[in-house]
Amino acid sequence: MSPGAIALTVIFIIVVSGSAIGFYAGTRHKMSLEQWTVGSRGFGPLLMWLLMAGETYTTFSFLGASGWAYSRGGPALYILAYLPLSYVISFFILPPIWEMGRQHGLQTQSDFFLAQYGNKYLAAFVSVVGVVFIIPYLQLQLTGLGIIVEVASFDAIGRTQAMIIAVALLAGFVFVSGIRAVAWVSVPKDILMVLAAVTIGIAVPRMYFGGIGSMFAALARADPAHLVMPGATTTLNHGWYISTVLLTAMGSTCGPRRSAQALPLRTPKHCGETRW
Amino acid sequence: MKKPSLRAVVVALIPFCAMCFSVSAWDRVYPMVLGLPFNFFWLLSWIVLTSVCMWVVYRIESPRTGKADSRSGERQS
Repeated sequence: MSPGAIALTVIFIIVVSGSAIGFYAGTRHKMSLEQWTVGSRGFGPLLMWLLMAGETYTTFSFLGASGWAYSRGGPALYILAYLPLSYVISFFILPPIWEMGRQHGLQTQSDFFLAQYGNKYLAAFVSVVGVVFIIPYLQLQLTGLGIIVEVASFDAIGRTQAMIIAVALLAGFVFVSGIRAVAWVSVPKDILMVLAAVTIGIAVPRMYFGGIGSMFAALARADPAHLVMPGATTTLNHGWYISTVLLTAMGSTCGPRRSAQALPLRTPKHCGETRW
Repeated sequence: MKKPSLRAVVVALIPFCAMCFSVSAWDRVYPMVLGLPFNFFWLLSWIVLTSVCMWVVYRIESPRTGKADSRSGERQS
């Protein structure tokens, strides 16, 4: 088989099995609105972990983050800092949301604002903001997906076709299985991403530099300024780093997706456990 | 909604100090540790140490919020 045919076969197998898992995830449960949005509040630690890992490792991890590290250098370190710190904030914010969710049967972030502050305009505003601001995020993720499929298939599948197929499948299995699909689909995705990251992270430095240590040593000899802030930029200095880490840590905690993650939990014990 | 205890908040602020506010102190290439530039190594270590801090926070907070179900298991003993 030619490299192109092998790539297409691999992509086909991954997409078909991933979608099958998504469609299957919900079929074992009787679907109701509460089952669809919050898995009937029956998620244990494993599913919660998968849901959160699925939210964390996106096309940004492969394209955006590595592209940033390559082109800008040192400033990309903010990614390592803001993610753990956002979960530190979540440790304090998600348990009360979960508690209210259980008491009032909340299913979305706006439900929480309605229950907590008793103002339906505030709740409506929160959902409008949530929807409007998720559009550029989706746009970004889908463009990234299109680029990855286009490159990985040796241009056999165009960017637009890849995006259309992906959206159709995604909408299909989320429509059928709800949040359970989101959690279970991240099983093959996370395994593949970790495998790919470890393979590339170890193999590429080894092939070209003889190891990770010698790669960084070569980098530090060639361009030491690239490894610290502001790297290849003039403005991304330490002040930028502190403000960006704080902003993104708080921002990713406030988004509708993170607070929705609090709701499917089964018991408060798991609420604490999944925080780390 | 219960307010978290001051002790828990202080421990949870440690990762913020280590990974965010102190950036000028550790954003350097040398000394390299385990083949990694110092800033990279520092942040990777603190990803692990953040988990340790949050474990401490969890131990401080869980007896306060916990009912019977959060005490079960050896973790909680």
